[in-house]
Amino acid sequence: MAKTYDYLFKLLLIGDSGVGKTCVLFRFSEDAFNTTFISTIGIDFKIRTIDLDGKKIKLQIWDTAGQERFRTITTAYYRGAMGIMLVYDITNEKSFENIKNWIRNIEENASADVEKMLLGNKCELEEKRQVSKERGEQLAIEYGIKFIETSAKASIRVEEAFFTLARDIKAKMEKKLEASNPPKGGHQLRTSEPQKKPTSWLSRCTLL
Amino acid sequence: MEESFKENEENCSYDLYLQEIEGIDDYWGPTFRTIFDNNQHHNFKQKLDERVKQHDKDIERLCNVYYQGFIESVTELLEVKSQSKNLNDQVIHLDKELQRSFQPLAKSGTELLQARKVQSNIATVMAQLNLCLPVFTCYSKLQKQIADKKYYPALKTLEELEHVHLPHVANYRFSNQLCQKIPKYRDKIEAASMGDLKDFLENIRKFSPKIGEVAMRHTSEQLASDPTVVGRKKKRNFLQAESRSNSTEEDLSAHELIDFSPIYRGLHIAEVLGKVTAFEAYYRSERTKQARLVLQPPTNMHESEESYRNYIYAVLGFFILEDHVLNTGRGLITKAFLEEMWSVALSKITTALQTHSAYCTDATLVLKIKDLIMLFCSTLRNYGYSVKPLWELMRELRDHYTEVLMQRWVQVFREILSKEDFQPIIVHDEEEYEQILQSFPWDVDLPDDITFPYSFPFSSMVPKVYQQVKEFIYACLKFSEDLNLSQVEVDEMIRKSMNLLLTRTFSGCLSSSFRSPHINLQKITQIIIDTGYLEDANIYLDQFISNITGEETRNITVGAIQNQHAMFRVAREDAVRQICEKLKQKLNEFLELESYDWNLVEPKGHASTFISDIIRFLQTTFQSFTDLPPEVAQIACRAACDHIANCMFDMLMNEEIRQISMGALNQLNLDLLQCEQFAASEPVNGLQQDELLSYFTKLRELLDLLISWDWPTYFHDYAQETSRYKNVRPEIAVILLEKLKEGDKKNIFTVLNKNERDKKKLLETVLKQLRQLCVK
Repeated sequence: MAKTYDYLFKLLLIGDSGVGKTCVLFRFSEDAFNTTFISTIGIDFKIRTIDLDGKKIKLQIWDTAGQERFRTITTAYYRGAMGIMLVYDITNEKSFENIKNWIRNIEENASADVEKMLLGNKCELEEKRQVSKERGEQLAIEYGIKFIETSAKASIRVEEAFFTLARDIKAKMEKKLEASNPPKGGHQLRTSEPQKKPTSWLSRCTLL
Repeated sequence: MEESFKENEENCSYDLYLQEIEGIDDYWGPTFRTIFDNNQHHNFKQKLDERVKQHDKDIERLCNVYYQGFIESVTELLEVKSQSKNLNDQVIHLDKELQRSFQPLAKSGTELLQARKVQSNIATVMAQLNLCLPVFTCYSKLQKQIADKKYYPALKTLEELEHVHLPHVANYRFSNQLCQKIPKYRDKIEAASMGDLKDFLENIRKFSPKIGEVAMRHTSEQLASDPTVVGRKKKRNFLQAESRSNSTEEDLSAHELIDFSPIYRGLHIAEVLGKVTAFEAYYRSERTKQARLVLQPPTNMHESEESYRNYIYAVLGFFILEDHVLNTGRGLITKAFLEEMWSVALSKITTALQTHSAYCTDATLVLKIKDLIMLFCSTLRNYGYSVKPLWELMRELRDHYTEVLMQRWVQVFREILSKEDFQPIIVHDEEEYEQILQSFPWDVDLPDDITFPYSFPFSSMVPKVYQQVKEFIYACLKFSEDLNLSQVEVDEMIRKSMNLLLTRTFSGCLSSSFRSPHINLQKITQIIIDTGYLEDANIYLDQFISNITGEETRNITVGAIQNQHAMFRVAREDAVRQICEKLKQKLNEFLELESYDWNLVEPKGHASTFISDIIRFLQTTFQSFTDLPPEVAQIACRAACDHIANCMFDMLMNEEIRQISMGALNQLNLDLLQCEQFAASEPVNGLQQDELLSYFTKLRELLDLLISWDWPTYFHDYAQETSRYKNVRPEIAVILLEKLKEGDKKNIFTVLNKNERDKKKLLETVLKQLRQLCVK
């Protein structure tokens, strides 16, 4: 079966219950919005293929349940993630404060080089804002990660957020590839380009 | 002496002469001659002078004598002259005066004369006029009567005029004219009375809906006060009492609203004129035409109650009028005529109502139509018309009503389902908790101490739907009101309808909501749970119906309990199918990420990522969906395993992949192992041991056979029940061996290896044997 993509990135959405993770994902994957709040049970995912610098990139985005009772289930998904979106609700101070707990969670469970990004969602509700943009930016700087304020409802910068994260992951990966490619084929990365395979296989063959 | 004498004598002759001259005024010649002849002229002259002197003297004396008198006379005369002048003036003046004062008198005299003449003329005219007056009075009376449309008296007056009055004044020209006019008047009256009839007909056409309306109201009031029906419709009774107080101004009976006199008058006139038959014919034909118009329903009648109402009112009004005309019209129409017209009308009405009500999709409207028709029937019966076909219509309408209700509830259910979030209801305080329990009978031992927020197992759809079903029952019941159906009939009807509603309508709505692209696993799960609760509540609905109809909960109830859980069986099966479908969709998304390298030389030593992802996802999902009823979870889990196994098998068999290496097979083996591990881990409670594993058996046997190269056993045990590879069909094995062979070809160095060559030979042999098996 020929592969229909060049890279597969696994992204993870985490954050408190009700900050709009599912909505952000829904906006990104289906460009739609649903007003009724249905808290996610366990874990769900959506896949969207994007085009980045001529490469087809499949984003498999895992949407986790924010509720405490699913915590053990969801943390199991941290390890496989290549990028993590930390989402808080700008109208909910508590969700912002909890970001550091989520970061700690990442540090404990995810791989060290995971790309992270901070999302302040529901930015269309300016009149209900509790967390200023500056505080969000400040926190992001503190952790050395990128920050974007989004609105899944008004469709503001959601696309941009995912593209940015994907671009960062891609850059990081290509850098790693470059570093490891000359000495030997990067077959450990199943995301390597298919046309590279025959060459790597041949090189291995000559070694045999 | 002689001389003296002679002198004397001479004197005497002179005297004579003188005398002669004096005596004669003329013809003095002869005298003078004589004188001359006698020669006396001298003497005579003397004498004459003497004489003249004497006369002068006489005159002088006379003058002296009379002079004074003369003077006096002259003076007197002068005096008289002035006086006479004076008098003359006076007379003239007087005359003038007189003249002046007489002038007006003279004028008046003339005028008087004129007046006298006129007077005498007037007297004559008056006499004549007196003679004519009755004619005119009579004539004017006629005019007035005609103007007042009192045509019958006018006719009488005309007769009087013709026979009593006109002969007296026959010599007048106007009388002649009148005489000529009389027949014209007759015609005119006839025409006018016909005109009146037309007006009347037009008028009642306009008015008959009003009459119908009033008649219907009277009937409804009458029904309301009828003690035999009071019990059954208290509510309506109340409503009507209200409406009655609003409409006291029209307590006239329906036909009293119309003035029928034009008909009666027209009939009288026709009688007088001897044209009764024509009149009757005209009336009947006109009414028949009108009936046709009235019975023609408006094309958009089905759109509003108002149109139905107007139609029914118009028809009713028409026949009430006809009934009245029949009773009072002295044979203007006959009973037979009316009955025929009615029977035609009845079939038309029935058809019209049938056709139009069939279009109606509004239940309330159907109800209103029903009420209208009911009232229509009652009113018609009051007037002695037969209404049997309309009762048939009512039955049809009832079926239609239920149909419409179903459609309406489809909307209601859709609405509920579309707004439903399919989350368990969460209540935050006692009040909300009680509210839910009141709206839905939850047959369970509730704990005494509940902590808030409390979560019910079902979603808000359950109480809503339960309430709606109740509403539906009420709505159904509304139609059977006043229909004079037996309790059993009503009960049966409602139960039937309710069952249909739940099994067909609601289930249909549920099933269609599964097809919504936004429905997720979670929602479907909740729906399955919800249907269970709804089924449990069915028994309460059953009781509810029994309470309403007063019918004992009969055997139906037992039946209902028995197939209680069958009610939503179809919907639930649909739901489960949907769950499996959704799950498969997710699995497919994973499987699309598959990236086997079919020429892999050595397996990676661990399962492929997409497989571990799938397995982890499945584990997580079954772990998370604790609400999922076990049997559903089992079905879903089975479906998932089956799907994965099939997909993996299909990958292997994919025609596009022509070469497969042993390494790739080994990788697939690793992945399969991962799946088998999952299958064996009892991801869902209540599954038979090894049940899930069985889905992977086919693939497992195939891989085992290929990896262990255990062909002797395969051929030995072939077609035996106990065979280790009994699920491996030779055709499949052939295809895979071909692929392996192709994969091997790539490796050009293997030809040099003796082992490899032997292996190749063996492969060829195996292939041959397998092909033989295939042919068998």
